[in-house]
Amino acid sequence: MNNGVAVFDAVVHAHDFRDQMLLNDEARFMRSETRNFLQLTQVKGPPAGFEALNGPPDHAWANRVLFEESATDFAMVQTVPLFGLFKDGMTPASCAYDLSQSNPRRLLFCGGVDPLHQGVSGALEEMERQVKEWGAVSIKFYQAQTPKSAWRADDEKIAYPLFEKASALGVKMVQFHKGLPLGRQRVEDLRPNDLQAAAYDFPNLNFGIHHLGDPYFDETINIASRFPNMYLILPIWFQRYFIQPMEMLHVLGKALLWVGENRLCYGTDAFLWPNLQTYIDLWAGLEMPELLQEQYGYPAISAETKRKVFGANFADGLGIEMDAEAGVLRRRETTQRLSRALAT
Amino acid sequence: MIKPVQLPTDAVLMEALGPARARIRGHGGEISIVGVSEAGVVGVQLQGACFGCPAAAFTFVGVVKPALQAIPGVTHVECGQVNASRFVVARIEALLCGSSSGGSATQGDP
Repeated sequence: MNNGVAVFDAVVHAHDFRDQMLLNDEARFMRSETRNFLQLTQVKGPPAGFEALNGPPDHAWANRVLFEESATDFAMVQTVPLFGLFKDGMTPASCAYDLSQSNPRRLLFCGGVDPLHQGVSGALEEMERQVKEWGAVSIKFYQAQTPKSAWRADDEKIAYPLFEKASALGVKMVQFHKGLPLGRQRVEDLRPNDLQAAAYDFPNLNFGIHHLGDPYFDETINIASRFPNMYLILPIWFQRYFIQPMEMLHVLGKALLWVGENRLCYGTDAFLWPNLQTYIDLWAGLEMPELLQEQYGYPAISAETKRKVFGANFADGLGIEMDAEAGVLRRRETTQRLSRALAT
Repeated sequence: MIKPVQLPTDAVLMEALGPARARIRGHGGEISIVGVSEAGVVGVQLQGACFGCPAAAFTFVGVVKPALQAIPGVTHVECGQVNASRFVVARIEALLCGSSSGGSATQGDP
């Protein structure tokens, strides 16, 4: 806990950038661009973790980074189902699961499938397996597999079966990588606009949007403001803050103004950036300048706002109750799957 | 002698909101009473087209809040959906209500 406030990191990864996992030149380009981005972020921010470009993180090291070198209480290890560039995805589900199993009390597993790469039937089968066998609490999607291959969340034949399956499996939140192409996929294939009809048609399912749809910040915020079942998950905001603090204050201010404090979620995208306490300290101490409050209408960032964003909101979206003092997560609706997933 | 103030009922509150509600519903919006605390704090919720509307602060501060605050026993009106800064609230009050709390007004949040 950070000064008595529970910290639930919504997204950490176990990327597998090893040579044998890269499928093509696009993947090598993407790894190179990631290295460049890491270098950029550490110019003004904390040191980046270039070792994460070598291979999946050592489990002991990852646990130390999360739970000893920072005040993080819980984290979700997220699969990145980008199969167009990587043999088993950028973070293979197996790597994410293995890491989560290194500390199952504090690390939740988020699965991931792709209906183009695996086919709709295959994706549905894999979702069921990840939930029932591996205890996935959420499912992640990455819709733009290549520059010429992408799917939409409002496609009733391709996407809706995934949401129906998630609901049937008891998953409360599905998550989408939005904006911020990992490579040279078309950025418009990662716009958030397709989530509107999906969120409308599945009002009992929560939709997590990562990266604030960068660069579609305004569209993402507008959409989330009108759909109460959308959550904004903040990784990359923290890294970009050190590069463009005023720009990021505007983005955050708009999100707080239009969406409010109840659906924004702290997340770091570790372990590309392993100095997590830097981001925790940033959020704990962040204030909205009065000039921006006065001229742009952004609300002050209260202690309650910080508490919610640090973890309460994400837990709420997942249907989970946090007891950071006891170091446990509890599902609101106990099921066999979740008992297993959250077993000590 | 201090007279006890009777808390307004939902019916009284909704009646006071009548004209404002008619205007709000004309835009596809709706407003409901969440509750009244023992201290006379009224909570309201914006619905329909008002949910996520960029002008919600204007509607709440300029139309809904004055209508409810005119009722005896109501000490304050809150709407958790209005996140605009205290400066914005003060500006709207000054523009539409002829008063300003000089930037000290509380936000919509409780």
